[in-house]
Amino acid sequence: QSSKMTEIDWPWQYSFPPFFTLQPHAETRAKQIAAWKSLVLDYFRTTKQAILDIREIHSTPLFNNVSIDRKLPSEVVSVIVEELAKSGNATPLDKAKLRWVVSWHTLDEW
Amino acid sequence: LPAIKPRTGIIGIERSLQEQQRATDESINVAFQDLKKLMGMAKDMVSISKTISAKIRERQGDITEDETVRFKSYLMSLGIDDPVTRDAYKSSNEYFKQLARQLAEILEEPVKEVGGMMALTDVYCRVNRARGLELLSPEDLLNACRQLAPLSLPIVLRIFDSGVMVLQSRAHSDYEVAEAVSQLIKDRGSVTATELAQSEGISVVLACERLLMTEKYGKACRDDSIEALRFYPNLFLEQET
Repeated sequence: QSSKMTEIDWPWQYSFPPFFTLQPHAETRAKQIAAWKSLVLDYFRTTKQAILDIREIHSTPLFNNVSIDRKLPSEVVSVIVEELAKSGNATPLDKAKLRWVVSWHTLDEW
Repeated sequence: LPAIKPRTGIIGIERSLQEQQRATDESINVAFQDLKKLMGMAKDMVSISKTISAKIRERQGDITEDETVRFKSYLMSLGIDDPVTRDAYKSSNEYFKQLARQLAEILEEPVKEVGGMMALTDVYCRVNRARGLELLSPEDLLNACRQLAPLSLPIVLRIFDSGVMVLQSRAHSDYEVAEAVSQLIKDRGSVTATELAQSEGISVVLACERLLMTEKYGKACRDDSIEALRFYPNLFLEQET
């Protein structure tokens, strides 16, 4: 796990506490979600993972920054995955939308 | 010589006690009877005023302004609250207008002193504490405050999204406040409403509204955790990856 962590090039937002609260201001939220989307894709590509389970999000450093003691709430994770689905980077595996396949290339790109 | 009541031991004491009790009972009864009569009268007044307001509704424009005004002051003196039908005919009572003028006169300076904005609860406190007698009811104060803007007085009522109501001076600018708050957030790194309240010498409620306003202008963003709701400089918009 630790070797995986060092490989990731965390963006500045990752250590900025407001990154872990969904912003009410529309323009700010758009920027925030865009940053999350690219971070999620980057993380999955670097760690070579494909499955995202909403129930297990806080066991990965991606959504749980221990150093600043902030976790991204699961509702917000859902918002981000829905956004990823819109751009074709995520597909739900079950009806409850708890498990997702994250693909860092969209099907079109393949 | 004053007549000396014959005392016949315990029986005598008991009797005088009973006597006293009967007397209080009676006066209570009388009081309630009077109250009942009074309420009966008021009931008649209520039904009459309702008929009148129904008549006004039927005939719309036929009645002069003056008549509706007078009718409203009757309703006011009875303490009947019938705003729905009343509001259709006149924006508000003459009484409220006068009160609004008075409020503007006495509050213009104090509002400036506290930074251009005062919560309505504080206004209520100040006005009634200064009056001593003939106090204002919260509703009267609110209704009077609603008249401030139409009368173009130097202070106006403002209702925040959160429902908090304040009086603010007409010269007050949200944008300038947001600028000042965002500068303070930058200097400190981040602030909570309590911290802002302490450093600016304003109430926590108003500090919270200022922060939310700054956020609305896109000049702050929030960090909501178990510790507190903190506001940070909006790096999302200011800093490009």
